[in-house]
Amino acid sequence: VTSERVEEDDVQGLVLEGFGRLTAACYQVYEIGDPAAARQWLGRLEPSVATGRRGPTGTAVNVAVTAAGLARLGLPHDIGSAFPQEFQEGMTSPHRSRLLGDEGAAAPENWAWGGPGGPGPDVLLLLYAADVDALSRLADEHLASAVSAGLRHVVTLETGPLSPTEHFGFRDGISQPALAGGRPAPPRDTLRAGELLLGYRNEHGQYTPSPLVEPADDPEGLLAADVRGSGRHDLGRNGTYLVVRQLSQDVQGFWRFVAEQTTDDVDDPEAQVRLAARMVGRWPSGAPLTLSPDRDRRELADANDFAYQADDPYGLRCPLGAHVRRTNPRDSLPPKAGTSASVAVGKRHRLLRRGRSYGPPISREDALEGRGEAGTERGLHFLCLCANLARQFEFVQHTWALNPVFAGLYDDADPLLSGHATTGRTFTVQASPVRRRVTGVPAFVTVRGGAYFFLPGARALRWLASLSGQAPASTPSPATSSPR
Amino acid sequence: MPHQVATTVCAPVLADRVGHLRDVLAEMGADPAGNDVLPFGALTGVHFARLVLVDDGTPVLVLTLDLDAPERFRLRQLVSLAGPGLDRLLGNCADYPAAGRRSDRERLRYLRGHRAASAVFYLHAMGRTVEQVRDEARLRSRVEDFLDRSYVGLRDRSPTEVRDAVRSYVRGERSLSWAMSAPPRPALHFRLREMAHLVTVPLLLLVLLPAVLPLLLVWLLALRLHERTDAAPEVAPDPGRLRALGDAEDFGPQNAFTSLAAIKPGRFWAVTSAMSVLFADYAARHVFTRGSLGGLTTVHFARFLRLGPGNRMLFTSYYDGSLESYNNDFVDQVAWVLNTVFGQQDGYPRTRWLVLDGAHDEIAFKAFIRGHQVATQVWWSAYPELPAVTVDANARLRAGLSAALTSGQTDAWLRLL
Repeated sequence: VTSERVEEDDVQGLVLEGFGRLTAACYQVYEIGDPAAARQWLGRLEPSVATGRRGPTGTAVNVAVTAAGLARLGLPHDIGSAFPQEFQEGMTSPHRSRLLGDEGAAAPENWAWGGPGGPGPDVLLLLYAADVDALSRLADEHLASAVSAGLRHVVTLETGPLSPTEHFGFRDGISQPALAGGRPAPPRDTLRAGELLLGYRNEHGQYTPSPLVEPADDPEGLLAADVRGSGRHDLGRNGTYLVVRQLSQDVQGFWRFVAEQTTDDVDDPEAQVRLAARMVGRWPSGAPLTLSPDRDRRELADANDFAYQADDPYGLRCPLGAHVRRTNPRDSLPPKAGTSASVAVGKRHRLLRRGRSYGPPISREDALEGRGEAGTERGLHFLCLCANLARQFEFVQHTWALNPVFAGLYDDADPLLSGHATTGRTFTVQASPVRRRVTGVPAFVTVRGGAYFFLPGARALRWLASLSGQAPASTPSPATSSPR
Repeated sequence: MPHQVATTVCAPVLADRVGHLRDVLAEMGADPAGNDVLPFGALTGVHFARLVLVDDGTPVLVLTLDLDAPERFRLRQLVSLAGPGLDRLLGNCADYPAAGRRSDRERLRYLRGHRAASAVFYLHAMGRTVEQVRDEARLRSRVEDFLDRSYVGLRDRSPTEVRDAVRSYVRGERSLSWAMSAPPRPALHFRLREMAHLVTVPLLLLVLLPAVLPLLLVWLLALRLHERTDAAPEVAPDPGRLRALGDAEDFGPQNAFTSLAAIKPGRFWAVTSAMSVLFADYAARHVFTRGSLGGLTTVHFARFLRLGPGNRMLFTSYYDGSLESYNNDFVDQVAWVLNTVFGQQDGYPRTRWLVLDGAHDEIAFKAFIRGHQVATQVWWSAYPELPAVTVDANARLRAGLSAALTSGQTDAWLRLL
């Protein structure tokens, strides 16, 4: 892999790090009321936006904008229409909902925020601090500043204290892609920068289409030149797309279902955890089933060097339909499982996850016994970054997670993510000579809000803040060519 | 068992009836299975059906049917079941019998008279009838349920014992006992014809080689010249059109795709297109016949059709999953196939030696596919809930009930379940 040098100082920090040492975070969603005031606000905000690898210095702020938000900021239509279709459409169009499985109770009409007819979401402020008090001060400060600039507060997505474990009790976020030239990672997880940032070559060796601006519309030369050599300026460079989905988790429902499936008369905690681990593909500690099929082994909590075709082609250790196996199939993809060609295909469908949990944690035992406040809302604010929403996020969700015939399965969609779909409600534990099927898997996860955001580079933020609000004389400029 | 036939009817539409025809198509599209015009759900032996109004100057209504042979019988059934509906539909087309002269005979004559031969016809598995697909889906569902019920008793048995248990269950169920024998093969005359084609084409090429070879070299040189010098324009699909196309997709596991593109101008590309059609026809009939299109397992049926006026190529297919995954499969797995069969079309990304580059240019290829896609106003599937990989697995399940299996084959067979 030849690695291009990433202009880290122009890249918002969330792409480069998860701000792990800033254990408190919240996400504020706003609707733009007064475009001119909003641009001034963005201009004032921009110098404080964390870029590069500064390392956490007490607090961090990142900012992202939806397609509607860009239009409200005054981005001319002809530039906005050069963003990809799925970004322009947004997460809640009927077609997008079908692709993402947002049906029934998870349909956008039922969302707490981001659904049709509701306000915004135009702008997302991601706020990070070292502790709850500092976060509270940071959040108040930004809320006051935004509101005074005519931004209407839509919702604040709070997060719990940063924990490596999600609410079902499993360690999360272990397998992450890395930028080539950045932190050392196995080749399978190392991506060319263009998979995670616009303006760099991707795993096809191409530049993902990016919205371009005529030089006349950037008289101060705020934006970088288009690397394709079009002579235009690149609004996308060093930016990327940020998917936000509020995933409500029914922990009690999850463990009760698992208990029903594993118990005849008496509770069998070991059997419960074993079945749940098969649905996840890792044990609670994070140890992969592929390496330890029979019991959790904490010493393997960080183990990530395994492959499915090589170690477990038929799903006898980690079921074929397990959540982690289908969202990151490693070496098990066509054209030929177990080859470098398979791994190369997989690298075109990776996501950089940056989510955090919200709501109070609850143990399996408490969930099963109904302890804890009834109806307490908890879940995951799922955040992920990718340069191509259709080929990365939507593809992983639709073609892998929600696909009932993924990897030769019969009627098995993702046991964690697909509860609101009408098909694929089976989970199969492969075994020899005969598999075991769990049927009628209910919904454990329900989307409660979400949107597709653009996370611009710092220069792009400055340019957006400098828009005049009158449509500049641009010509449509989708970048569809690419030197190979 | 009958083989499968691609029937296409191309009916020129009367210019002043286009709007009315659109209304009829919209009515049908709302309920393809049960609409009053042409209720596809009432027909037997039809795998897939579609209606496309090609309207770029000279409007043509295209009806495609993927049928179990014999075609004559299927068309007769269509006419007798939906005569007045056909009148509503085709009454908007040129040459359709006038109101007073409409009889089933005349309708049949019209359909047969307006058939157009496919240049290439691909199907997932030759010889598998609609009835077989549906029956084997039922078999699969029943066997899965049987294993669920019998799990506790079977889990400690040997693979052979589990298979025997399934076999005795199927044998004992009167409604499934048909599955204990292999499905019949296509008729002898069809198999002989295909075998003759399989052998004759390479033989003919071999005999003509001394004459063909110099021409081929000239063609290769011309190909490289054209590939290097012909313009490969950038296509930027219109967002509104993309939105409308997407709004009709992904309601179930299957989707229908239709595209229309001109062959690049000039004699050279016309000749190359003819060669590509010959190649693709041969490959579809003799190479890609076992449920896989060069590794791709998501396409049920597809065809190319030349459409006048002008040298245009209509392509139709039924595939599983989203267009994004369909395209990714092409780019990642079978780019050379796509280059060979689409490479002569206007706007296709630049190829090298016909098979190289082209679809490997992900961005330009996806833009080409969406850019030339046209709306499919009506389409219908006889088994809309079944992805092609499931249809295949069901057939293997059935085949393994009666075949003699080694222990390795028994293990593989059990992994289907």
